[in-house]
Amino acid sequence: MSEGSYEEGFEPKKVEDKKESTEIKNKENPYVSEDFSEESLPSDYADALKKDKKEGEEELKELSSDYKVGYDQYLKEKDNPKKEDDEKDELIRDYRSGLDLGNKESVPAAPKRTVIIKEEPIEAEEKKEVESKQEVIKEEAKATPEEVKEEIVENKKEETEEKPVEQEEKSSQEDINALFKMLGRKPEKKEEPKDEEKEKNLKEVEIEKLATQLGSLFEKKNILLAKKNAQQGLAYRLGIRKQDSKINDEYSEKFNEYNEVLKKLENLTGYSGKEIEEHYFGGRENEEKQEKSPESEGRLEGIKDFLFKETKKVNEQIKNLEGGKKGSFEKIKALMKDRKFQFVVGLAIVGIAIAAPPTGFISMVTFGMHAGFLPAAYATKATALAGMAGGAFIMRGFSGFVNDLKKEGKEEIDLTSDIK
Amino acid sequence: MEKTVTIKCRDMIEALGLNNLPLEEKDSLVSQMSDIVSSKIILKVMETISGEEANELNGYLESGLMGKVDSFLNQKVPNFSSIIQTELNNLQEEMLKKIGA
Repeated sequence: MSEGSYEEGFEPKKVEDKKESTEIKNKENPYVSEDFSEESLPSDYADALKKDKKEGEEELKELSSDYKVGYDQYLKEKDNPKKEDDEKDELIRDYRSGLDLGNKESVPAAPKRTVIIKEEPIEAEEKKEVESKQEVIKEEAKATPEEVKEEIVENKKEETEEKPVEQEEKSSQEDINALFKMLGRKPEKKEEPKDEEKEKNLKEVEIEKLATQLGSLFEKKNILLAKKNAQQGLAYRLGIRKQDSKINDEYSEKFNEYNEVLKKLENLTGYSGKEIEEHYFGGRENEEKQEKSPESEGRLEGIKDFLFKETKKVNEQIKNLEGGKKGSFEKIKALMKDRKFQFVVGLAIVGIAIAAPPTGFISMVTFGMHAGFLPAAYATKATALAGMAGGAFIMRGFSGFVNDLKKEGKEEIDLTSDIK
Repeated sequence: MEKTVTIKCRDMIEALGLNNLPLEEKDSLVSQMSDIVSSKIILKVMETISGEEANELNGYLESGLMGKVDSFLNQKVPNFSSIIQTELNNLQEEMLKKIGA
């Protein structure tokens, strides 16, 4: 309703309305004539009409006073409007007073803000609960952090059985953290050594596998490179010898394979390709690339010449051996090679000291370094040496094997520790 | 318990100044040297024993009686480890003399 109509429609309008309604009523009733008068009516009808009129006037007076009161109220509110916030504050005040009285039912519907108020006591209650548990555990004093942790987790589990698993674990962890904080200790992280070890072992196995593959590819690549380089000789360039075009392709293939394996090892170990090559091949490539100086070339030639002459001299002596001696010599020489005695002599030549009882050296010739031929006391060390002589020797050659020994600080191979 | 004997000599490759050689060449040189030393060791053993003893030894070797060979050599050549040491030293000295190092 608009403000204007409210004012206009007050007292005088109502009277007019009443008249209008009578007119309409008369129009609607065809039996009522327009020019009737009270005198024209019978006496009992006239009395009833008068009575109705009187009652109507009284009713009208009553209504007018009600309207007036309402209008006054409206004007008052118009001059001093009530703020919405005040209303809310009033509601909150009422609600709180209701809480204080413990008569919640009589409190009007609480505005949203009160939800926050409601949560506070619950949090405080939980905190109190945790603190009380911590107090109990503190009193026990002897409990280890693991025991405390277990107890809290167990209690929490019992109390919150209906809670979802995630929520339960989270709240337990929070309690544990709070407790450790109170005790002045750091919460211990769950250790999973088994998984770590497993992962480590798998990694080591993978590295070992790749290293073996790398060694094999290194050898193949170098053989093909040597063949490739040989084809660049004068005879090939002059067309005297025919070049094998497959060698270049094969070399490229092996070279790529080698680099792939090297890259995998780089990723697994965190070392650079150069470091890996240095570790496994002892800088073999670099050594091979080193140019021989004229001085070292001359020295090498001198050594080769000397060794050739010595071999010739020894062969002469062997030829001069008589009967059984010649036969024995050839058989013992064969044994020395088979039983890797010659390999041990080679170690001594490059400065690796060999230690054993005097009879041990003969046993090395006769029984060799194989556990099956050796007395039990010889077995472990000799087999280890034979093993080294096998795998590493084949892969890296004698000098490479010796380089490995020296890098590991093994300047001496002591055969006595197992020979009692 | 038997006394331990240690056989030791200088690193001949290093002493001869051949460290910069490719590994294959080093291996080839060491292989020739150890072959010469091994042959010289057996030749010394053969010098130590008589013709008859050599026949006896040959018999054991042909029959594959390694226990007999082992005890025979231990008995007839008690200084076997010192023969190895001597032959190694001799070779080293001669080579160093040859190249004037």
